[in-house]
Amino acid sequence: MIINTEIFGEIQIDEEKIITFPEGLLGFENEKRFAIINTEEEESQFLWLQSVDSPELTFVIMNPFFAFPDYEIIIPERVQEKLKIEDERDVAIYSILVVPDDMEKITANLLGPIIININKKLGKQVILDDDRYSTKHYVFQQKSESRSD
Amino acid sequence: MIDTPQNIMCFNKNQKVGVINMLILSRKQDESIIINGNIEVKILEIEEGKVKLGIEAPKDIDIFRKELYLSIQEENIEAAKTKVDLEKISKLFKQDK
Repeated sequence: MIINTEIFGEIQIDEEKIITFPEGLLGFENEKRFAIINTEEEESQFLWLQSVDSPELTFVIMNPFFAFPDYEIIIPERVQEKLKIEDERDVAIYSILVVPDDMEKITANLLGPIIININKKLGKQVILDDDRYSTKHYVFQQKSESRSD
Repeated sequence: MIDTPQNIMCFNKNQKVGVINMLILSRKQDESIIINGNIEVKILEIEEGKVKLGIEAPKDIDIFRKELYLSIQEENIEAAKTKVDLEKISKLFKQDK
């Protein structure tokens, strides 16, 4: 199918690649369908999560384990059931990024990861019950640990 | 025990103000309330300035600490404002490695 996007214009998306988020995302509860888009030919760590129904709604996401190798997620049982996860190999995990003008200061939301059952094309944003994680973790190592702002 | 519903002011993100009905009631330790016939909220412990709740609910009901829920909502809204060139970020990442 063709989906209309603000960033990429009209793009052709394989219907099988559309992921359903039955509950939407927090703050975007009415957005139930997204597509993951990779604009680069080679495998990039950064991807787009594009709403199928709202052209202007696009998130930048990444595989969090690439930047945060020690990141740990326990997927609660009720989430496993909701996403019909039967095999851990079906699970893909992404973090939503905030990209400020100074791109060195990109942050990843490790508290509210997006969990997708790639096999069933079902997704959900989960809030972790883990006080090690917050909504803002610098993706690139900051030269100084102290935040200037 | 159950007071009459009271009107309270409710603020949402957009600073719109609305009036909603809030049921206000008192409970002692080990007492519960039942919501909708399938959610039980029990007062497990009361300490100074702190209440420990036990919540039993069907698995499809999400329960969050409100401040976490709001922080993720806010972060999503901020993230949705991002308008950047993905190639630029990828390059930045390659430099970093």
